[in-house]
Amino acid sequence: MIDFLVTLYFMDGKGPYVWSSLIFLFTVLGINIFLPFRRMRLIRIESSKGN
Amino acid sequence: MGSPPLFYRWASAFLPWLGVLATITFTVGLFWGLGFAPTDYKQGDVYRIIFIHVPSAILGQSIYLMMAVFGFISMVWRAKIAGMLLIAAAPIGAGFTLIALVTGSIWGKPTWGTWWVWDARLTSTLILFFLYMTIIALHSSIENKTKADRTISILAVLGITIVPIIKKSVDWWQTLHQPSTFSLTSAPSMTADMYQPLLLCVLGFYLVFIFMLTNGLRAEIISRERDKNWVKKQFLNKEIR
Repeated sequence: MIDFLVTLYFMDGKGPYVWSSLIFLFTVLGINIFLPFRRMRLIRIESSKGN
Repeated sequence: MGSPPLFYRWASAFLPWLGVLATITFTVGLFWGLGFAPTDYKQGDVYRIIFIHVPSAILGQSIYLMMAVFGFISMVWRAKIAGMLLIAAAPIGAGFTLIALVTGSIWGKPTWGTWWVWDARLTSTLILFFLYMTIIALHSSIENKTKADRTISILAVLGITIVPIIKKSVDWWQTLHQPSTFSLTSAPSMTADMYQPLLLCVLGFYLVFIFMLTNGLRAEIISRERDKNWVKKQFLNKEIR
């Protein structure tokens, strides 16, 4: 199992370049998906405080 | 669909289904590309960054094209929803352009031996990223949102010249960057078992973009129309007296 994960991570030695690209992709997409939800939640909280 | 309440209702019903479809296509495309596509004989496994880099670069440019169309509609027909679509798309376009720049840089290190070169394709893409950031900053700096929409519409339409420059930069100038991966006039230079997952990734990225745009537009509508009765009723679940 460990051997499989090590092979998957390193690939032909340049695997870390590929995985860091993937992590960066997920980070940026995650921020773009999270921010509108947060914006709507803040409006809801603000509105409930105003009552 | 031009009416914000109607769009909000439609988007809220459509969003979960779109989310499921986008997640499946995006995940299968990336799994196929990163895990099962054959290794490139010249570059080895590092070429797999193509499954992230190329769809992001395509999205970065096509989102800007779409924004210019929304900008034109907003200027000519004064459609409120077009202005909202424009500003909702801007951070997503900036995100995809940034992903294209960063993954390109990560790919450049093992293949070109450097993180960055001031070559035509890279520099023009960096200008596109700055254009996105200018649109976002300009919009948030103007208090009156109708005025802000009009201002960024003009900028989006004028800035469209950067897209053909990016597209043609690899033909017009001597660059380190390889020629375009996708072409309408010539056959793909990759084998089918690399090209097919790439096409699926492009489709998955487009679906993710539509999901993010729909979600961002909902937030923009709610933010601008928070004092309207329909928002109080539908979103804030308040009794209208």
